[in-house]
Amino acid sequence: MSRSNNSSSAKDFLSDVEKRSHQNLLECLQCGKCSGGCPVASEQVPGPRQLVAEVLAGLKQKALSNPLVWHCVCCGTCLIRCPVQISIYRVSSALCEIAHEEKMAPSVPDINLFEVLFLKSVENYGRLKELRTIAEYNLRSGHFLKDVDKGIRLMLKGAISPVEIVKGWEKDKRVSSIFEKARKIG
Amino acid sequence: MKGFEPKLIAFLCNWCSYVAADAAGVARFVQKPNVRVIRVFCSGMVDPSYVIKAFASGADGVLVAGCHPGDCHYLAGNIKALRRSFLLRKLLAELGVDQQRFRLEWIAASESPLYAKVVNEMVEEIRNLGPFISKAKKLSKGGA
Amino acid sequence: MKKIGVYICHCGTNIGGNVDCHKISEQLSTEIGEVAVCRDYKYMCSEPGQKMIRDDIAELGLDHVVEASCSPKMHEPTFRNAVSAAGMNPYLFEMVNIREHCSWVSDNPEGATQKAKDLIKGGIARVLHHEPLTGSTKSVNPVAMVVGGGIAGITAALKIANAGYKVFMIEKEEIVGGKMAQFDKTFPTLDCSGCILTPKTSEVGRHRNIEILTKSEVTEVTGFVGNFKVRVLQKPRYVSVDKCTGCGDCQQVCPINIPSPFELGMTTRHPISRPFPQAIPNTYSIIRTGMPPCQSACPAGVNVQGYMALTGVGKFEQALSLVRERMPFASACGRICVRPCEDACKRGQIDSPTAICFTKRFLGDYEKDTGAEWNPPIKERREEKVAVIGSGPSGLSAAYYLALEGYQVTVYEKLPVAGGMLTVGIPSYRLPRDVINSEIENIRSMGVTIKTGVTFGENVTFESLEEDGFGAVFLSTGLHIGRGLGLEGEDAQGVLGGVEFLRKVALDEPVNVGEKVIVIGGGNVAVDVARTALRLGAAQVELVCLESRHEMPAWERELDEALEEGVIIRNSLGPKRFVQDDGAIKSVEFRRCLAVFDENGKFSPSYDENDTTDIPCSTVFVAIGQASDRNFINSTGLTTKPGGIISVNPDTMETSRPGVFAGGDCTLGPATFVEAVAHGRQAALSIDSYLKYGGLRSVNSRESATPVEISEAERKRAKPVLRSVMPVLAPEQRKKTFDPIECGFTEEMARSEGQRCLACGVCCQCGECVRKCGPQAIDLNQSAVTRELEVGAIVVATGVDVFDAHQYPEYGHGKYPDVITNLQFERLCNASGPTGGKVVRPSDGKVPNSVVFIQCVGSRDKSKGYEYCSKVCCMISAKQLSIFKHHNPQGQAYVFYIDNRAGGKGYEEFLRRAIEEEKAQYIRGRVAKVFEEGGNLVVRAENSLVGCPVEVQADLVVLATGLVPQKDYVNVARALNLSTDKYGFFMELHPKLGPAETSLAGIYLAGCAQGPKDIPESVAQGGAAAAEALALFSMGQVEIDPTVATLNERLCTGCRTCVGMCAYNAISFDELRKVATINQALCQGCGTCAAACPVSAIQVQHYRQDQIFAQIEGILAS
Repeated sequence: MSRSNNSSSAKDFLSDVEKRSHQNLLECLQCGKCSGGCPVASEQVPGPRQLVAEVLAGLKQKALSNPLVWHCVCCGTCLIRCPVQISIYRVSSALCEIAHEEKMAPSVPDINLFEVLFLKSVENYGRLKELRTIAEYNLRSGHFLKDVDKGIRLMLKGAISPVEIVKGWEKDKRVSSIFEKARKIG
Repeated sequence: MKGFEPKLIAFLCNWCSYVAADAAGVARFVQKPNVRVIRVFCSGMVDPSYVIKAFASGADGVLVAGCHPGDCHYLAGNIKALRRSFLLRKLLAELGVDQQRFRLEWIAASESPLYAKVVNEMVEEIRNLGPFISKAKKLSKGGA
Repeated sequence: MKKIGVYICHCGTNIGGNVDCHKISEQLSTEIGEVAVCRDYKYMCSEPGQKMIRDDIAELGLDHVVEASCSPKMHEPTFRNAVSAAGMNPYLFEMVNIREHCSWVSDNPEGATQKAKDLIKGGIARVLHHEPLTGSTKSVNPVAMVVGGGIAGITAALKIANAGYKVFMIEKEEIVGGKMAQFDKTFPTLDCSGCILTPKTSEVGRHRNIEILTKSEVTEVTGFVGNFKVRVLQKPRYVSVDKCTGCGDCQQVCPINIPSPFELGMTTRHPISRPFPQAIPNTYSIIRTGMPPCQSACPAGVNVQGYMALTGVGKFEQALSLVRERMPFASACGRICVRPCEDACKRGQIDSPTAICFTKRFLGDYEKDTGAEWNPPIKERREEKVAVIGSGPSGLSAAYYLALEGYQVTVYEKLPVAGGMLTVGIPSYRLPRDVINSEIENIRSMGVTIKTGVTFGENVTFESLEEDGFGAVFLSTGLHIGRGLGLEGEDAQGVLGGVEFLRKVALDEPVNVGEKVIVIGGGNVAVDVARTALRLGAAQVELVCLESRHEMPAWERELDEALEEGVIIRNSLGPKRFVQDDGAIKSVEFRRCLAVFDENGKFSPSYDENDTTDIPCSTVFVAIGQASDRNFINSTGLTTKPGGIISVNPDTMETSRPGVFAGGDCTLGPATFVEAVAHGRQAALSIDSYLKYGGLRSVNSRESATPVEISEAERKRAKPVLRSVMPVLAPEQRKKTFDPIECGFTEEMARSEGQRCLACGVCCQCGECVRKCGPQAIDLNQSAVTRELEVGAIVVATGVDVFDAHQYPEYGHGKYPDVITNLQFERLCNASGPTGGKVVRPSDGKVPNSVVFIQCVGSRDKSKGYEYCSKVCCMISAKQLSIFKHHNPQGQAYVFYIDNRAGGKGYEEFLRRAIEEEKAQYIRGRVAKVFEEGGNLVVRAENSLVGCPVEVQADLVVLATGLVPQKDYVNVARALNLSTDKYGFFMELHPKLGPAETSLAGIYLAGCAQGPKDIPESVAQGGAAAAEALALFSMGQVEIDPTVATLNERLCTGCRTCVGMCAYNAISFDELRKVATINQALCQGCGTCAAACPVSAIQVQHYRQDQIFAQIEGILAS
């Protein structure tokens, strides 16, 4: 158990998160209406209220390893319901950023992996190359046969082209140049 | 202008803006110390000559604050203050007073944060404008 | 030189911690000559501090005192008393605020100290100009007014009344008791709310010192403490408080049902009702919003809502009697009226207006069809005789109403048949002959004599009638001349006037229409002529008019029917000349009409003379309007208006000849049937007054009208039924005969229409209750009264409203019937409530097994604008779940809360009981949504203490809605000049020390009007407000501030600028001496006149120009 000695690290963490997310977390009543409406919250994945409580209490490690940070789909239900209009999905996005910068191992590695691969595909090819991305995802996550049946059905329907595996490896510079510019800005 | 501390006179009406100023004090809303308050019973009590006298006596800015239209304790004194302000502004312009140096605001008794905000904003605005030097002074100093 | 004492207070560290009081004190002692002594002390307001001042005044002979400390609004009276005790006039004192405005708001001690010094210097400079002033004393009127009859107001009223003073209680609703009257039980004792409230309300009701004004609101307050003049608008109850026995017979016969506001829409009530049997006042009262738009629009003032409501419940006989109070001819009216009522009908803003006219026809026909006996309420026979000239609708109407009064009426008619335009103007396919004859027979059966074939001016004259003993004459000769065009060739054979043509057809005189007919004209008469010509065998009928299709004045329905029958309409053509062939009409030449009206809207057609059309024809009917028979009108010798119509007084219908009255078309120009009937009745009333009293009756003021726009409440009352469609004969069938086209409504259709009515006036004034009431306690003619009351003190206890839960669509209130509010649940529990005290689901009446309470609905929610906590809802839900458990011990209650607020005596224990004994499941988590799944309501939230989502199936969901200011708080605030906070709660003088006072002397606060609170707090505050008022009364007088305006007459230029400035009318102008005069008793000291005076002749004592100038100079002196 940590003992609070009025050091500034807790306050720094809170103000960092507030700055990144542009939200004033001190207004939070901890009423829980956000968690009540959150579509991804479950017994395993705590709702947004708990995430804010962790940030307010300065529990940086706990907050960064909270699975909601990855499960959050930014639907905005929390914002609509919140009586003080806090966009909690921005908080979870901010925590993703901090985790990434501090090179923390993500608490839900599969979701993180998917997001990384998704962005990689968009950056390189300007679009999501489904077959390629899912294949790499399955390989690297260790869920080798995940959704294979869905993939076959999609191929039969013509939604995914099996040729994609061998053709179309040329990279499209148009979108990747945008990514580069964004990285430069920081 | 560095080091310049503006001097502002504020005419506050007894029923609304003065109470707001008191409440701002109770709530400890920090304000710049440049404002000096004179209590009147109604914004309608503020004779235009008071405003002119203030500038002539060395004020850099004047604030007149009353109740919101419709809520005046004396029914419509604030409306009369508003009516007078139009001609007063023209007169002030003639006398060489920038328009930003005179403000007429509506501040209700419960609006103490607004009072503090108006005071602080006005002090900074006047600070940027610089001190008010009357035409007479300018002339006596041999032109601006 | 004057000697000033300056005292600077440290106020502990409040001032001293930021401002260097001692330094200022030292500096001022030396810098300013007039300062005889300057001291700084820790607590100037304490006894040692004040003694310091008193001693200095005595020993040093000080002339003035300046005190620099807190806000003058805090302690100015304290210090004024201190100097007064030492013998100095209190107005030689000045207080400078260096705490609230200086030390408390500065984070810069140096700046604060300089500011404090400047302010004190200002005070010193100013005080030198102060002069001694003495206030006047005014006696206090020891009468109190309590605005609001809830528990806070009741407490205040009883305490003041028991002390022996008179109290007026002004209550907006029909009963006193406020929200507490709606509760079932109170927390934490679970006392029955009614049981503890009714002894209080009864006491108030019978207390000899308390006068209750219900349905009343304060509209204006003038004056000052101890001497207020209050204007109160008292809306009528319509039921006499003295006579009503509360038997309830009236309710049994009332045809209207509306959602009950007291029961929050969970059941209905009749407009005449009483919320519950123990209500005070114990008598019934009627909800009436005003005259509905249909009745306002009707020229005859027929009580439309009344007869529609009665028809809706099948009381056809009573409905017809109600119609006949203003319209004697229901069957005729229901066939031919213009129906301004239907245009105004608010149901038309939803789908279609109620079929008012067709329903009236049904009522008239029903009486005849069922052979019901008609017994008009004829009064005792009178000897006076009245003559009516003309048996059209106006004359017959006058005859009817005069006969009802018992007069002997003789109607003289020129034509061989009676009925006027009804018989000879309107074709019988619209108004069948037998209907008209039946109406005329009814008139005859009342004892009215109708003599046909008698021409006024030849057979009878004014003089001959006078000789025959007639006391008054009513002239209703109408307009039976068709206007001519005055064009070339109009005298050809085959060119006839439209009006004349219709008359001939009606009188069965032969008319040959030929093969091709042209009808010139665009109004209803022209259409009647065209369709009649068709029925007489014309092969082709063309209706030609100046107007474009949408400009035609004829009714749309009539035009559609004419087109269906094969009439051809040709628009925008104006006749140029009639082309004759050997004296007979051959064709008519028309020119293109470019516009009918000029840019001012006046009738002034413009033509293109080169664009002409020649239409061949065998007959032409000219139907361009009715005109007056000038010869006849002139022969009467009566004063006329342009156009040859008789001039009458619009209220009394009297002409220029005494005893001669006139009405209908002959006084209006071509008008409508209903206007003519209205005139007949109006004239009858005038003649009645004239014959009885020699004078003419005055016009009664009309009831105020309801708003024109449909309201939400009215929209909700609409039954989802479409307007009944009048069955009509097929065009092919009907164009060959004069049989009536419209077949009439059935009983079901009429009832249905009656039920479609939205009851815009709520009470329809049908009179059923009046007739039923044994003690004759009901008077529907009562009107609102304005009372001017003089009181000395006012207590504002206007209470609070409940948050509208519809603002949370995610909770489903208004969508699911089983999602209700705390207050609605309270009504379910209450034995006088909509279910007789059974806690059941509104949807199916079943007993709920699981009840879920959702807290903080509309409280602690910045996004809805109500950030505060309503304080009582946690306890209310705990109470309500306990009541539920007593009703259904097997049931389960859930409460979703954020925090449990249980701060009162016994509250925490009560809450624990709810959890531990009633086994309610308290789950910490604000509910996210309520939805329906598989026919059940499900409540979803997060159990935040456990950290996982939770869903609960609910049979009943209760929303703990917050307390919010009343919707009309602005009206009360404006009337009393009260300040409110940002939510609308009235502002107390000081949040800690002055909860029951306001910044206005003599006006006090009590109860939730000041902020949400529970019953014991409201009672306590009511007592506190009473104590304030009683203190005022026991003093007997108040000191009036001498800080009023005074005028220096020598300076006054007589410009009168000040006179219009004063909001209190305290300034008048003396015409003799040409100077203004100020009534200082009325002056409130605002200073607006002084600031406006161009020569500064007016000054406000103690706020004079020289004083303020000195203060400015003192502050800014460097």
